[in-house]
Amino acid sequence: MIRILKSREALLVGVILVLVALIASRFPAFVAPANLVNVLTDTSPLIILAIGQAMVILTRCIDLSMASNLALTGMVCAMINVAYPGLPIPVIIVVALAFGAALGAVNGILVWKLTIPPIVVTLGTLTIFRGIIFVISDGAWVNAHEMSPAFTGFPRADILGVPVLAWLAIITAAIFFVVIARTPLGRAFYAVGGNPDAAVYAGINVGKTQFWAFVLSGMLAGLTGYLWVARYSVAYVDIAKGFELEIIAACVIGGIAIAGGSGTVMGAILGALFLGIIKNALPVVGISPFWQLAISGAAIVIAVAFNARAGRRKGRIILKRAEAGTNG
Amino acid sequence: MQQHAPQSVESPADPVLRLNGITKTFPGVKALNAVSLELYAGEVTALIGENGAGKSTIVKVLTGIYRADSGTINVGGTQVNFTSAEDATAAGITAIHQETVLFDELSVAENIFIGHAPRGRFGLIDTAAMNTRAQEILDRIDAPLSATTPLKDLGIANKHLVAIARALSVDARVVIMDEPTAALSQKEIEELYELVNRLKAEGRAILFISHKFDEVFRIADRYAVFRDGEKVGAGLMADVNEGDLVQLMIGRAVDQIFPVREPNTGEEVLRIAGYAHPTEFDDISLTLHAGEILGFYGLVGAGRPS
Repeated sequence: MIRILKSREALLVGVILVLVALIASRFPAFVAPANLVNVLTDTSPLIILAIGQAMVILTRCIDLSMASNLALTGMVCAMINVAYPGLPIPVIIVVALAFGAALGAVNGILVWKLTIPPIVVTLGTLTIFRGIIFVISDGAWVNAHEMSPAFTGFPRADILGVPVLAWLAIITAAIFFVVIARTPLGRAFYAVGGNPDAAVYAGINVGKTQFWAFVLSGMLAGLTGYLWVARYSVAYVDIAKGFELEIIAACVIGGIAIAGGSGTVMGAILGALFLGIIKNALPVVGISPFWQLAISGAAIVIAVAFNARAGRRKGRIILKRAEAGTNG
Repeated sequence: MQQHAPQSVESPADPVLRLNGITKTFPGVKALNAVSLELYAGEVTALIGENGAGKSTIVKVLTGIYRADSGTINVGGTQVNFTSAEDATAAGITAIHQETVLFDELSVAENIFIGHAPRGRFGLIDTAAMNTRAQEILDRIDAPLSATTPLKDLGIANKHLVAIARALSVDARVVIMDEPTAALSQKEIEELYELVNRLKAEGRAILFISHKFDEVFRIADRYAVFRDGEKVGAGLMADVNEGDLVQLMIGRAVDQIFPVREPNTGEEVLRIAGYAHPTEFDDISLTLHAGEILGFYGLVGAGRPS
């Protein structure tokens, strides 16, 4: 029980509740159910992306190309919709998942087979993917009137008062809880990130495991690409530019250790929600959105400081007297 | 009338594991040079050698982590070819590595079964079955541990028990112990010897890597001595004494190992008295003189590097 209370997840839940309570004390409308659903829906892309990024960071890698993957896959989906307006949405979703996964596989292959550091690989593909958008679209926008109503309507469709976009975040979270906890691949993420040398002894292929983490993060970036373009009814070169930093921030705040091997899906979700609530609350409270960056930044620094302290506390106590001294 | 001749150390059956002409070269170094080695069921073979003699390389070749440049590995009469640690496990070779080869963020049971966890519905890991089986193995080796504890909550000695449990979670014909006593206290070492005897009785072949002669003489039936990547001697423990092994190991006679020293120490350059640290050590006093080498002696965790 003490373990649960001490965990990063519990701490974040507490912080989020305090934050919401503070905002609600001045602006009760913020906690109206309809507005909370709005906040969740608004944060859903970040939640889905943070879960994908968490898989990658767990394996001691990082995926800087997620936002570019999102924009490229979003553009591909939009252009397919323009060319074949009658194509059913499930097909578009499968295309988005597959195309995003393929882009993730490019990162994965480079990290696995050429053993290039992930930060270099994904910094490269970050630029390349954006470049490809420009090439395939000629720099032109795909606008709302060119997209079919079914294409743009899907993420906004209402099920039990909650938009499909938010449902998809919930479903993604549920699937990845199982992937992380109950599949050999999920456990291998922790093994590879926690102790890569030991993973080899356990018969785990480190590079291959990292490859699959990149495929999963790419897949989720691709899915979000379609949802993003459909929700905002526009696709162009620069959508979600710089968003990769927010994704990583959500993971770090959620307690996913940048050094790999430690963190939970719940942590990534709570980290994303924390940023999402701040983003949505600032205009309500009347603080300039520019402060949002400063607040996010401060949250990251505090989170990292927490992570570092948590790591240090592990120091063993060797002398009985010292042990008694710290207890008394 | 006895149908079978009793299997004794003197007349062993066919070896369970036979290495023949194993060579492994790293850039600039010949780590193993045409090494042969045989392990027999129900026997402990001690692998002895100085640091850099090729002991850990042969372990890595046997467990599928390194691939030999040339040579053959036979397990139970069939030639095998390992491309990964999984292949070695599948062939019935398991290794008890030092406790550093574990995962802090996983539970004890997950550490034991990583790579071969029992599967349930939809191919998902059957956590309940895994925990039950892990607990059975832990109980079998009298480890006072719960299978569901996170590994990071354990001390070094208990982590070592987890490493042993992991090796026993596969039904192995060959068990490799890579300096298993290095981090253990005397009591834990006694428990390990008991375990070795139990594995012997179960008919497993054991490769025991060590450079402590007392333990080698206590538990090994055979020896193999490595020096500079070559096997320089092998045979029955009963036929040798410590001096013979040392001579094989370093290639010189024993009386040359410790040449008489003429201490030529100068004035005191460092004095530490009553030095203490809140958690790591307490009331340490020592002096260091010019021209003197001071040896720190103690178990891992006794505060040596601090």
